[in-house]
Amino acid sequence: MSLRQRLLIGLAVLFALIAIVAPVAAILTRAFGDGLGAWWSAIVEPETLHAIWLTVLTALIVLPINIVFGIAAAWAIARFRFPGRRALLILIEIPFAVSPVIAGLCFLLIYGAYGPVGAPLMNEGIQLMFNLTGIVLVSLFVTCPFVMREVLPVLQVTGEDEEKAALTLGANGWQIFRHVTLPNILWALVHGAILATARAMGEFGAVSVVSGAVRGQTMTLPLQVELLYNDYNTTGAFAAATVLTALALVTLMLRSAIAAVHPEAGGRT
Amino acid sequence: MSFVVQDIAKTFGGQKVLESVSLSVEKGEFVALLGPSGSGKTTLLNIIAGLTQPDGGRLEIDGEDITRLPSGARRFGMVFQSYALFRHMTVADNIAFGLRVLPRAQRPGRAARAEKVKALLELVEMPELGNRYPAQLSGGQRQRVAMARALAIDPRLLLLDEPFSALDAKVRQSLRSSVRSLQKKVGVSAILVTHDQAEAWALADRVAVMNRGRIEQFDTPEMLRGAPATSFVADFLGIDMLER
Amino acid sequence: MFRMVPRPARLSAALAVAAFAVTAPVAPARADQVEILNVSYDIARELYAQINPAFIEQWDAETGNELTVNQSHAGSSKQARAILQGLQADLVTFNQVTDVQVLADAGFVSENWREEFPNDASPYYSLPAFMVRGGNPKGIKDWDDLIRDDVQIVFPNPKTSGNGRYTYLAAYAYALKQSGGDDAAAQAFVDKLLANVAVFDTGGRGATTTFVERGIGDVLITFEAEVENIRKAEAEGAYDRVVPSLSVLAEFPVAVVDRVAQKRGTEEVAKTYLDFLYSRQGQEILASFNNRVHDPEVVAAHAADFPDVELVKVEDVFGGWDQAMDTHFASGGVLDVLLAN
Repeated sequence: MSLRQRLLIGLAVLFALIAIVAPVAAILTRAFGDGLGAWWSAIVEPETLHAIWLTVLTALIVLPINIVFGIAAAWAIARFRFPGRRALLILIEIPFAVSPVIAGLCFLLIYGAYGPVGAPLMNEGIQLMFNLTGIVLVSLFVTCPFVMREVLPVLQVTGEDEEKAALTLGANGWQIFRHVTLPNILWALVHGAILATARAMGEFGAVSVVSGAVRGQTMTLPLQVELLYNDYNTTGAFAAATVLTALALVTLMLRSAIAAVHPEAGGRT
Repeated sequence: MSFVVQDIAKTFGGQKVLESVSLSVEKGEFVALLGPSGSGKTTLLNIIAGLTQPDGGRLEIDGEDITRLPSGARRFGMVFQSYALFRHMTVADNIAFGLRVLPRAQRPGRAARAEKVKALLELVEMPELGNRYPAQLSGGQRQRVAMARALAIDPRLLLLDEPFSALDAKVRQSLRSSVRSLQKKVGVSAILVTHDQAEAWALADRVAVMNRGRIEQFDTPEMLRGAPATSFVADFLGIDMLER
Repeated sequence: MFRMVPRPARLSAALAVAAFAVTAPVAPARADQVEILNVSYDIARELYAQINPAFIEQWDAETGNELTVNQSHAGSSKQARAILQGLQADLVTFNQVTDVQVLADAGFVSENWREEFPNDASPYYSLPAFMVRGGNPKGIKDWDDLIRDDVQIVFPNPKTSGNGRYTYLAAYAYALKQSGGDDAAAQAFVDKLLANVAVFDTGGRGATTTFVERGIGDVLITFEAEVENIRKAEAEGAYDRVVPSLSVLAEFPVAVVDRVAQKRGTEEVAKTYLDFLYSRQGQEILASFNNRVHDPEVVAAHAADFPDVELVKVEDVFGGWDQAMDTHFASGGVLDVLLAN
């Protein structure tokens, strides 16, 4: 091994230590600093439990919508030439380019009680912002590119002939999707869904704008962590953070497990 | 069975790809569409298969207008250049696919499907390989699976899109004769798209020489070589003859 | 081309409907079951976690009705914006007068909201004070000590933080008084103070982290109540509180959000809730969280906790918050000039 190689590896390890290992270690030491009992009682605080539930619920609602939308968009873009196709391709990347806080503010302006969409609905007694609906909407916004971005390249390089073959053999749209397209994109789809779910659970900025921060009602886990931290409830904040970290680690492990079994699915992004 | 292509036209992005193309295929006949790349032969095959909609003209099978019939309802077996085997299915499942997706009322039972798959595997001379996946097969074997899959739906017409181009020369030779004998045995009419004259001569009863979206001449190999109708046909065949 | 109708579409549609069902405002099942939302500033969570049960008990005793008080906590400017966008707040308890004024200007809160409750609608108050390291090794007693060459200060940036603006104005007011009202002298004083700032964090919580966890600076300037809350969370004796001789009155304004409360029929309970903050019981809880209060008996009981201090009002010294913002904190204002030095 040359000196340069060693230096590079050393730098990479150092970076990993500074950027990943140290913060995670800090979270764990703070969370368990007052003992396992203190950690546990911080977790089972009703508000923290509710935040965990709300975060998971949001992810569960966002996930199927993301999957359907991501596949549909990727399929349309990969298989058809239609007016607005390029625009759709750019449009779908916008959530990656726009700051989540700005996105949240835009949602407020449009879907808030005095926005062009929000106001008429409010008159009907339907409130879109500052509740689960608002949180789900902005979570969808920030996560919608993931599935499409993973599935699209796979669709573009594989399967078009297979779909045509299935078509000539008499299969209908659903049969083609179920038996031909889906098996081809399955692992890319799972990979994208995992990324989207991780993002949905971890999103702070956009959710913070539209949540309304009502205790025990519209506080997702990241918001709850900040709230507890601002309250000088260090143990509580870091205990809640361990849950987020654990969710992230599970995601990460799922992702690398998939990448190990199906290398064609992972590795991108 | 007789199949008629009448005045088919197709324009892509302002460019005429097919101009008033007409053609007929008799029962049991093997027709080749021969031409250089860009001559429109693949587009014509896709229109016949129902994968592309023509801008004008008519497709008829036994007097029935099928121009607007969805691809799946035409019951045309197609062998793709890439074979397009379903990579996630075994050879047997690939062959059975066209039967499995039939509406419930017409769908043969599991045993009947297995029987049919077995017969087709024997027909293409690979009876032991039903449980393999496409990735585990040689190029020639894949091509034969694609044939078997296309034949499984008892096609009214067999469409072959450059089916030998992905194979090396030796395998190509032997597969040519087996495709021809299979087609004869089954008695199905067939249309082959190729840019390779040798292939057309070896397989086809009649050959349509295509150039720039038109059929220059549609005749038997003997007539084409003996009496080329246009200078293009003469050039196209002649240049190639010299090379041999 | 072929079309498909994937089955998961139905599932997600069902889930979306379910989400609506969960979140759409549900009419109260019983007329005597009332729910109100108190939209509050970001560091008042534990305070209202004690206030609410006490008030609910009182409300139950007086009316026999079941009441739920929901709490929302975030920066009060952000909260005001959220209410303008439809956050259904029945009442607000803020730490910035300007943020209630924003609601009044938009017609959400009555125009003369400051007269609707005693003490300019501020049931408790606080002031910028100092937190020094245990034993006060630098001997910091008043604003004068903060401009010494050997003292490093931590407080949030007045550009981004209301907390920081209070500190700036308090130092300025102190220097004005010392110099007999000489603005040039006051600016020179604040200039020196700014030169001693070790780190300008964007908010109060960040400044606390800088001072406590990173160990930077000799003195942290923040609200007195906050100083005590930090000291309570840290090891005993690690930090001392120092109250300067003069500071600025920091009000904690409250108001009923009429526009929402009228629609939801919660005006009475919202007003009663805010009245409760002025009651003896309410004032006692507020004082126990190190807020200064008005009730004479509670003040007497807690006299030892709150050293004497001369408090000036922003209205009296700086002509009100609007003018203070224009003169000092707007782009090109005094603060910008001083920071550029």
